[in-house]
Amino acid sequence: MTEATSYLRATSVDEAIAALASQAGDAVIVAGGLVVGSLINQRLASPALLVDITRIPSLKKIEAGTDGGLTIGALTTHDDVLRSDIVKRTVPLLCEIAEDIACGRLRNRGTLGGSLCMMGQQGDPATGLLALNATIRIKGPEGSRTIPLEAFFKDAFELDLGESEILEEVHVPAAPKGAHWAFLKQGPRNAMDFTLVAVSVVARLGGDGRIDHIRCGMNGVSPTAVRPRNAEAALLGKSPGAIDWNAVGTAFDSDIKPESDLVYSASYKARLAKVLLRRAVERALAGGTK
Amino acid sequence: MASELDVGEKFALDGLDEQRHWQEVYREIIGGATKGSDVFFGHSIPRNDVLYKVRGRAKYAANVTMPGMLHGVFLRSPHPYAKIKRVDVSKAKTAPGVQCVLTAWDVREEGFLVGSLFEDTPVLAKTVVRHVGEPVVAVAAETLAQAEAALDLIEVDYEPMKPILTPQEAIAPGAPQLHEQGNIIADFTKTRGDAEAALKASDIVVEGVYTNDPIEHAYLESPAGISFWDGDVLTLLVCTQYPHFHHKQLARVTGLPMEKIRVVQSVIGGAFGGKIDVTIECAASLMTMKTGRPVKMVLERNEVFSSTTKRHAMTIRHRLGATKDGRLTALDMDVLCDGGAYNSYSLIVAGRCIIHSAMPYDIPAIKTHMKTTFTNHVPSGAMRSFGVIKLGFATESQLNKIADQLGMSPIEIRRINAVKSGTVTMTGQVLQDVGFIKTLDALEPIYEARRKELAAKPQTGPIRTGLGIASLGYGIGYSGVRNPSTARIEVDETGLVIANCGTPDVGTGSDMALAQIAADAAGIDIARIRVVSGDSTKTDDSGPTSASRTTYFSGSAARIAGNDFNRQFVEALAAKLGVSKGVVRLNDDQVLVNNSPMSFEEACKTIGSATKNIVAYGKFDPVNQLDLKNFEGDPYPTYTYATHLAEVEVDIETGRIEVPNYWAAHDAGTLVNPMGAVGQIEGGVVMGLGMALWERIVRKDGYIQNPGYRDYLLPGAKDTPTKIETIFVDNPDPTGPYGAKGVAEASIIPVPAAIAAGLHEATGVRPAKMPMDAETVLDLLDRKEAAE
Repeated sequence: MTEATSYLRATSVDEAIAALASQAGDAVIVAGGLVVGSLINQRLASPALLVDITRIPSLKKIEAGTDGGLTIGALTTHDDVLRSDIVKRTVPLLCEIAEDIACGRLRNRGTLGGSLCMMGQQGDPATGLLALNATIRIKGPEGSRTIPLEAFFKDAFELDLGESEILEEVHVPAAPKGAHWAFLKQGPRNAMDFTLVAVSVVARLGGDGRIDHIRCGMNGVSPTAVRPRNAEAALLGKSPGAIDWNAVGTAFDSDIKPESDLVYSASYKARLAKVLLRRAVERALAGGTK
Repeated sequence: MASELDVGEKFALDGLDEQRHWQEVYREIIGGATKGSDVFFGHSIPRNDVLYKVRGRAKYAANVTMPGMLHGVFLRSPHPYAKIKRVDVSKAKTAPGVQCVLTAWDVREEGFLVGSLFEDTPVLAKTVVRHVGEPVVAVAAETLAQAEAALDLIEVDYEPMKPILTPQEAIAPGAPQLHEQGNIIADFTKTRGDAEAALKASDIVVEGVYTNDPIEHAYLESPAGISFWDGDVLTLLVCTQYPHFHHKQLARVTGLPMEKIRVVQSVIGGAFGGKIDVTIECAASLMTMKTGRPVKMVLERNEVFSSTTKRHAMTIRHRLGATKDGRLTALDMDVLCDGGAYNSYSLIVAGRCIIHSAMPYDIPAIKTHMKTTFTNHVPSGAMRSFGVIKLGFATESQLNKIADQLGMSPIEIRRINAVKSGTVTMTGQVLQDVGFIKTLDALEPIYEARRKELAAKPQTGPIRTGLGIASLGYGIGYSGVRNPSTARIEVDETGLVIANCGTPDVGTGSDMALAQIAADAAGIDIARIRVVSGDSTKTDDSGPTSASRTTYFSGSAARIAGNDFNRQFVEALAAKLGVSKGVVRLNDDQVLVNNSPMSFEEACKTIGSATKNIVAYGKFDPVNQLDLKNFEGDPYPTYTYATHLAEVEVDIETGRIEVPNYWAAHDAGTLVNPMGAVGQIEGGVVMGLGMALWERIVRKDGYIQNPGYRDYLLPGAKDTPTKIETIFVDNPDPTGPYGAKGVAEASIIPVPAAIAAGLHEATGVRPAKMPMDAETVLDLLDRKEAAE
């Protein structure tokens, strides 16, 4: 462990915001501590102040909304999500995603907010939340604001989040009636890889047997989690047996910007992503999980 | 500290009281494991270190602290190849907390160069650095942070030179010479008959070029140690496979007499050949001498990746010929190998590879050549199998090719060509007690049954399934040189028996195996025996724990010493009682004098201070000689054999491989501790899986690109086969202790070739490079499709 920086255990969101504001960008929020702790240990970060938000109860909730949707506090751990009856009942896709995040120890510590804020193009939950059209509530010195999750991700590790702002909670609207979903991910190994492609799909067939709703979230193929809007457009209105996957693939290429890393080349990632997208769409349309 | 070290229980330095408690707990466990039998050999007795380890009580070197202890760190070369023009440490010397700054100019001339086989590696670089990560300066300070901060104050002027990055560059005309000996580490050739003519006359010849990337040992514990003065003895507690080597080396480096040095192995978190060379030993000890204070050094993981030895990268050109009925006729193998910046164990690796060129097959005509060169990469060194895994990948893949082309079962073609008892090897050795065919016989019904089951399953969707077979034969012990092991057994008046064994336990449980053998040979309860290994002042130099030699060599020594102990004990008791030694017996922990029983403790008490005179000794030193010029002779006293079967699932759309089921049939002689042996096989299979599918040191311009576990991919628990079934064939080796022989390295060797064969059966593609990662496999599938 590197020498300790200053440390504050905040008891309210406002106290945490004030602490962040006092350091002019040199403070970091600690929730599960998985990313921050590892960056500090590797001497890749040395913030002046650590703001511990783990004792702020208002950030830990999971609540069913009146609209059939769900509100999840940013401090909710992956394990909390996995074990939540409310989540299982309303948006089981999130349980399915949480089930295979890293390993038990990391699911116990890792939080939903941490995953969205700190994991760059790697967090699995972002894919599901994008596919489910989630919004997030952010609080700062000037008050609260709510934005679509999609708008939160600006560029690699660049978020629509001010230096003194905190991600408070995620709101997941009810999925369209009759929609099915699927989640798939693949990396070189079966757990805990940074080179990983993940895809979530929420889709519905209309009465005419054609896709009348499709929304996807992808990770690992762009600097941030993305919605492949062109691929979605290429799929909308098609019947499952008549999808031109080459055309979808071409559209998809313009949705993503994969980069080579030490494990996979960019072209392999793009190809893998297309396979996973196709399999996830097929699985969802076949009834998949519901 | 001295007294705590002297208790010999290296895994728990928290004092005798705690140990006595655990010894009692352990005694009960052993009682259950032997199921009431009086014989310990052959039972799955739990290792005595496990109790400490699972409870987090084991003290690794990094956990040890001492009063006044300093923390040591290295400044390392940032260049693959550069002249050192100037080293200025003046600012670092006066930095806060710094007590010692050590440079090459502080090391005495006679001890400036160190190394395992050849003394060619500077303790600290002086005039030239030959690889990124080579130590240049060492600093010891009151805290680790102070030591690290001081590194930034050291000024080194380098004059970078163009590095040699491949063996091809190293042997090119006009290449700069990296060492006085030139750029060649090894250049070995062996021929048997006329391979070229035999290939021409063959019905079928397959060719291939097989390559691999360098591999990290990936032991859990980073190299770590702590040096200190224990009175006037310079003492080093360090995680190593070979304390005696460091003892001798330190005598030369420090100038101290041998009796003023002691090297004790700490609890060790894995080694696999990677803790056999010098890392922190010399620098830490020299800084203790300069400061008079304990100095602890623990390498960071990125230092482990960037500065310790790696598995050799090889390019193997391979031609294998056969008759149309599957009889191998000729082998032509040519290997070019990257040895890295210093010698390390490269010569041994090359020698072992040459000897194992044809193993485990009887091939009448052979031409085999291996050239290993220096490059400006991190040194390549010893790693589980000493290079043979890459030969296995090549030869086994080639053999499978021939079997496929001939439409022959991969088991049958191996049976036809297998070495047997009486086979004369390429070096002229007549093999004895060969159990290879038994491993084929053991796997054949499993293979045939599983084939039928898989054939009955329709292969629809993107997943294709295939089965792959590969085998191995592996020599036990050093290659072609005498490498004796010894054991000494003593007893005190209370009945505590200490077995001093020369080769340290590197995490395999070998201390347990030695205790089992010694207890049976001595006729006493295993719970009485404490094995002391890995202490350079308590045991003879019995070589390192490597080359799968501990059970066979040190086990044989323990057996001889145990028998000797029984004889001496009986004589001492008879003398004390004034009876004839013929009426005294020690058997099954029971002493009988004239048929009246006496407890072992009672007998020890009776012998009294004369127990000191009981010093039982065992030495095992088989005569093995090989002429390294013509490779004629008997390189090893015995060999271990195995055949593996891998079930491989391939996703043909993504190239991803899974190995759901795995079977390993081994001839390891009689098993000392079946649970330990199974553990070795399972560990080897998973380690082999890592090399086959994921592991790769990525290098660019002499720099390692992935010095950490984020980008260096080891198999995790979810990647291991659901089932690894281990089968040990019944094949006692009369030359080993109670019929046992080594098994440690063998299990890794056939894994990549078995997986490659399974991949071929599943998809028709045949990989020739490791790792067979998803992208590589998908590329092969694309090419196959394009070709069709």
